[in-house]
Amino acid sequence: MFSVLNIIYLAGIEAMMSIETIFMSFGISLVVGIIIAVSLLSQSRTKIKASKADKYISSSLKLTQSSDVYTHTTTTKHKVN
Amino acid sequence: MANVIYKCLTCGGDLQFSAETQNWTCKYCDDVFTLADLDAAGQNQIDEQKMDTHTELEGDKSQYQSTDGTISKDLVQYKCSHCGAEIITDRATAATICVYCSNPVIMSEQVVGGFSPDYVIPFRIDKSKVMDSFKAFSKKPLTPKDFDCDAVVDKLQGVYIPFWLYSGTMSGSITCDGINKRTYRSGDYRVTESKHHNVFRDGFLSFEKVPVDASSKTDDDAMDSIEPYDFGAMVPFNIGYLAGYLAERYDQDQESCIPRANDRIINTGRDELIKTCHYDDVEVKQFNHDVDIKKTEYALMPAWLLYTKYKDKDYLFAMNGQTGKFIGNLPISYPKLALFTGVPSILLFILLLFLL
Repeated sequence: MFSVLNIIYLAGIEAMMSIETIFMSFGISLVVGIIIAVSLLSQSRTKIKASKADKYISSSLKLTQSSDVYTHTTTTKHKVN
Repeated sequence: MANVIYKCLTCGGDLQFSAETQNWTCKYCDDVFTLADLDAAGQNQIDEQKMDTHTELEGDKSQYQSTDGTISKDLVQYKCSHCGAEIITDRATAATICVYCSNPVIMSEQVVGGFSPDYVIPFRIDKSKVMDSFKAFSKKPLTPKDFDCDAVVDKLQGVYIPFWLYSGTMSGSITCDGINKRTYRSGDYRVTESKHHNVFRDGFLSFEKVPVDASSKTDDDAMDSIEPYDFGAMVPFNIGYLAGYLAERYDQDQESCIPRANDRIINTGRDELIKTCHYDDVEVKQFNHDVDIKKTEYALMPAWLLYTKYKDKDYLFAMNGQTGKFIGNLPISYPKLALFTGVPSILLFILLLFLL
């Protein structure tokens, strides 16, 4: 495993790649791998505990009280570049 | 008569309910009878005075094994009305197949009095279709090669599962922080302005027939997963629908199952209240609720169940016997998982090295 990474690292150096490029490539491929794994596993695991009863609503929600009172405003600033 | 057996009105052979025709078919002469035919012949009536009951097993019950494949530690004994063989089965079994003569046997004492269901949804899908569905279902990319679905598919059993159906209302209120956000650029800054509102909602909604399985032997999550059933096809209970299938009666009473229905009702009620808060973000500060179950009904729902083992681990697969929805956690081949995720990831990694 170490030698494989070493070869890739050396190849990266040879191709004038930066450490950042290698980490970014590794990160993206790791995320894609996780997405594929979750997608495949979800196909094989379909037993799920029911937590909702929305299919059994016989008469929809009737509001008896409703109020919206403005309280305050907050502001956040982030410097762009 | 110990147990109910449906006899063909033509030849006296045994009748079974057919999911395909929704009628009763004779195994021997293929004659078909409707519910009205059986009612007219008095076959659907249970004489509670003449009804025999189970016999308690003597000695250590753990030394017995059920003869019909049911899994239980609380076994009792019946006598098959057809061949006289002893059927050892779970105390809550309401219908089974005699393993000696292959005839359907209904334990009538389990569907009378307090155990009499209000409704039943008859099977709509027959075994051959279920077997095909299971074969298709089990062909997932991560299924191990040596998981032989052909070898286990014959163990599929059609079972009527007991369900409580709860109807009632949920009233509740939420207090939350409703936030509307606006983002704009000001010079070198990106500014996010959040306007906060104190939001209060109070209301109620009604639920009808929230199902909760009432058998301690069936996997609750599996029964939840095969929902929903189409209650439009539900009919008043008639014992004839059990002919040819296994059936369980409830062994968890309606009071003990209410918390599971309540949890689902409360979660949905909370969601419905939140939906009325039209803000970019809603943070719930307080949620009060009260569930009032006004009516509880008892019904039998059709399910095809397959219990099997793979590498010493138990697996349960279940299919909704009305809609055909199939669920279950298949065994996972970890070498396949590594292959299917590792190869694309490594190829992508190498590709990205040269593209970025």
